[in-house]
Amino acid sequence: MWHMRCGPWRYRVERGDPIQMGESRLFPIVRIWSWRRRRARIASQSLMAQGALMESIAPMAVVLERPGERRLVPILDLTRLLLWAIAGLCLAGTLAACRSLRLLSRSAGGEP
Amino acid sequence: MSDIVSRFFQVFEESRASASVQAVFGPPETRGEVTVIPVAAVRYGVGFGMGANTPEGTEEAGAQGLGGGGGAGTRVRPVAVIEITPTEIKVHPIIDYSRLIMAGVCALVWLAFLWSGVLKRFIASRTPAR
Repeated sequence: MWHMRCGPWRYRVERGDPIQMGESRLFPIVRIWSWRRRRARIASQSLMAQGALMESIAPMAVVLERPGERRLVPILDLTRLLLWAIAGLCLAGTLAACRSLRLLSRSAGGEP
Repeated sequence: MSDIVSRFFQVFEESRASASVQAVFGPPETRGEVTVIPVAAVRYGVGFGMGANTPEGTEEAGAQGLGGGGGAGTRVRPVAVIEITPTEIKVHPIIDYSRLIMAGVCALVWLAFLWSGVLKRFIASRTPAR
């Protein structure tokens, strides 16, 4: 459907084959992050080859198609969202602590 | 030798093609009027490397060095369950509480350690020097 590339990194959004359920059809939409590396060197006396690939596929949404109805339903990865929220709070707390320490050491040193 | 390299890259491309949308959305299960579809997040990685060398002047088979290795890993994590009824569609998220609690405890321990240092400095700055 849509893709973006930056060096070995690639981000794409794909729509899968529809899942048929009676009269209704469900179109899954996923996002794929991938990183790949492929290298080979063949000389008369030596040979070297290496390859690596990492891919992360996560659901984004589903489109439900019924007679007379078409609906897009987003799929949220709540575990990941909450983990990012905890990481954000942790970072904010660390930055606030660093700022407080700097202010305290400044006031102890007599600086304005 | 180049055949071996081509074969390696072929296996590499095949492994890439095997993961697709079907890996994320499971097969629908219907019970009466309700259809349930499991949804997961998939992450995988594969890697390989090989090398061969024939030192100059040693053309016999025993003198050739050849080595290689590879590895692969996959991780599948449940994300949600889609429930479809004749009248509506619902997405029930699956939350990994043990992972969240573990992350929360780690964050709390780190912040407590950090802020205890700040508090100590604050108390020391308020106490008049004798």
